[in-house]
Amino acid sequence: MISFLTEPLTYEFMQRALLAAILAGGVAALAGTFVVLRGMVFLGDALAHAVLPGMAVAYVAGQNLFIGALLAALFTSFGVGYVSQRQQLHYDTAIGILFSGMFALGIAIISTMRSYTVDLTAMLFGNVLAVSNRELIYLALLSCLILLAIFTWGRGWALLAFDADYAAGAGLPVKQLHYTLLLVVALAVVSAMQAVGVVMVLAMLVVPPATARLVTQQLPIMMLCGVLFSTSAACGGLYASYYLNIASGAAIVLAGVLQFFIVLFYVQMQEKRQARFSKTEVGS
Amino acid sequence: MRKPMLFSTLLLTLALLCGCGSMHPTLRSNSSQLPQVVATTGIIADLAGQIAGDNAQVHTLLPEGADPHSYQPTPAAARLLANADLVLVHGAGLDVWVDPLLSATTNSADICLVTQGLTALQSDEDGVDPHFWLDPNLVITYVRNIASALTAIDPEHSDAYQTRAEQQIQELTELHNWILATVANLPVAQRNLVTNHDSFRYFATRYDFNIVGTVIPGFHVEAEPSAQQLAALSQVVHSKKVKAIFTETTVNPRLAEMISTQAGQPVKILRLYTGSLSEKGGEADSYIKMIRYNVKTIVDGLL
Amino acid sequence: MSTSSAFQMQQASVAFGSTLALQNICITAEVGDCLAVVGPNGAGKSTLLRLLLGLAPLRTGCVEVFGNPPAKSRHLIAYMPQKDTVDWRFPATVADVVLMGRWCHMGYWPRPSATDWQMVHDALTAVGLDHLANKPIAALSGGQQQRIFLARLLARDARLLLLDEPFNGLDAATQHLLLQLLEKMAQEGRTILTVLHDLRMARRFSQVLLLNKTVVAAGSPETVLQPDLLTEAYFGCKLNDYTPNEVAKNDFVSN
Repeated sequence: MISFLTEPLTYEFMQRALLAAILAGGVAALAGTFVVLRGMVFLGDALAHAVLPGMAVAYVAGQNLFIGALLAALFTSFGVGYVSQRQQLHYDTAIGILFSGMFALGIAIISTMRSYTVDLTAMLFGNVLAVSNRELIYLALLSCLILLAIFTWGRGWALLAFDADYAAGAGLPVKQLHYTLLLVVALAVVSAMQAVGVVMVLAMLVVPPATARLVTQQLPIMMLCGVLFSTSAACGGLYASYYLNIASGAAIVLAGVLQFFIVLFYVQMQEKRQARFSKTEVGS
Repeated sequence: MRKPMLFSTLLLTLALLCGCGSMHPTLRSNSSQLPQVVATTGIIADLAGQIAGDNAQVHTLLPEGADPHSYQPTPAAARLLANADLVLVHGAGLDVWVDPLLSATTNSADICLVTQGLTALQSDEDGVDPHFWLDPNLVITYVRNIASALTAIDPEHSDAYQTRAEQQIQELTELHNWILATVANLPVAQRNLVTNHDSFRYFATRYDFNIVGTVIPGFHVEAEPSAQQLAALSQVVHSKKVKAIFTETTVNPRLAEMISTQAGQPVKILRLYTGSLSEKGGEADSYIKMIRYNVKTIVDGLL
Repeated sequence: MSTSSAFQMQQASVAFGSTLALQNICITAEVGDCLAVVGPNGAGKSTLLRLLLGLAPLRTGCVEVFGNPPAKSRHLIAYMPQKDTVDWRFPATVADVVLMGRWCHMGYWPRPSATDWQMVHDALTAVGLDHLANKPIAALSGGQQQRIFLARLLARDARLLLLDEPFNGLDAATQHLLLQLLEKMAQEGRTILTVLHDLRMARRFSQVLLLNKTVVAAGSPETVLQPDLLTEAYFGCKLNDYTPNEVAKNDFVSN
């Protein structure tokens, strides 16, 4: 039994992959908590896909791919904000337009690149097994930045998610809070992309916080549980990919979703049991 | 609050194990004491296998039929690399996906660039053409590079490696002569090649063929042809009365089928092996068989 | 502008795109005033409140709250929005929500002090929900939810209170409680502006503002809640234009 757990860890690439997946997953779960609470899931997905043209352009220009990804994500969020100011258009519509436009732009740029050395598959589906020490350091730095951002603006984001009207009336800097959250989500997307790629980053943003929401009614606990759930999904997924020899990114996402359903059924069974045995509380 | 406790315990345990794992001596299961050689593609593995014989164990990273251009590495592949003594990399842009994987997994293995010493054809817009292996004469360089790499990691059997390498080179020379004879049956006017992507330049230069066009421009299969390019190609197929278009086993033949319809004349669609060998027992399960199959198909198709 | 006034609007008008929401509003409220705002749907009542918060696009005219532009006076204002703009599935306890009222006093990295918690406790006691302080808000009934907003309002300790239809959907006991608290706060010298639907409730206030995109009438309930003024506001025409059968006078004149 012990060797089952320790054998993968004898390989350095597995150690690094585990660390990268845990860090990326934790950061995505924290940022994703606010994405889920603010009902911004579609926007999160748009940001994730919008990084494709950013990376393509960065590649063509010979620049750092992740800076390109980040700039594309920021451009998309500002674009959505700008388009949705028209009263005839829903926020959703604005997101749909920017999302498809950016992704198609990415595909178009890549289709004109007749010779290139960058690995498109790695961008789309992640390359956690090939994470280098330098990338781990970047990931750790990003995580610290994101933690700092959450400590500074977290309460503001929470209030904005709960009661936007009141928040504005209370004098909270609504625009600033909105754009800092988008920036943090963009950073989280760019980190999590390393583990699972552009196509599945949304899962890392959304699934662990959703699972955490099932087990707690308090925001700080929800954030902590989100990180724990994403960690267990990362570990479970990587171990599964090692022993079953499947793609690591997909395995991590599947582990997260499976975990969600397990927790869901557990919680529902608990509620049924409680309803049967306890007296109903008197509401007023 | 029970769930979070459960998972935090799991996390702590894993952290402890990570710590233990890094201090533990390598538990690699090595069923034999033979030097472990890992090749990126099946074609390289085939050549290496011929040279290594029983003196080394050769593994392939790419599964049979997979396209080297777009491949997702799994932990098994990473494990192979971590345990390898020698890694045979093709180079020239064919297996860029292996570079980050290499730096993440091995620090002690020798890395051999099998195309070392070959001059590649370049084009400004398409970059470097990696398809040396379609010309057996160039593969001689591969064999020489592989042999010296094997000798470097296993000097004890250097004689055996050298002998087998010479044998292989002999076979390649015979293959080359056979190709010359076979191709002589095809008049030069009919040596018009339309292939799936631009993989036959070296072959064409060596054996006097004309690359009339390719379905997918450039050397890399992810590039997409524009509508204009497809129309132009259909036009050329029609005007030069090309009798066959050659697709590849590793790429979808739909585009080729479209061009043949567009050209308005009966055009055969024939499959060649370029990126990968066939399965064991198939018609092209070794390098030499692959080349023979290709040449026969081309000549029969265009005759 | 007079410095003893709580807020003033002069020739203020608000437009959203090409739609005019409020036009030519001139109001002055003194410190300690207790105003009810009534009018038909679409009259711009909520917009009026938002104008005082600096959240509505002012087209012309000017608005001042405690002598300053609204944006600068937000820390002096407490706002109670309509209940349905809130997501009740949010993971928060009752105390968390009431604590939101204290945020403007807590600074940029909010760390609630003992005073803050004390005010939260006092506010919850005033609305009779102190025993539910740690309960998640998702588990509350409608009346309890409204009371929490009231507690949040109290905790904020503001000088100007803006309430948007606070009596909607409340049971009689909670309505009574709300009125009592409003009266108490008025006695403490706070200024109160409440949007109402129920004209009977409006009679309980010292001043009434009848609004339909523009100020139809302002003053004491007796002078403002007259049939002809009400008809003009609610039907946009004079009483004499209609025969008695067409005007449902009895709907407006109540005891």
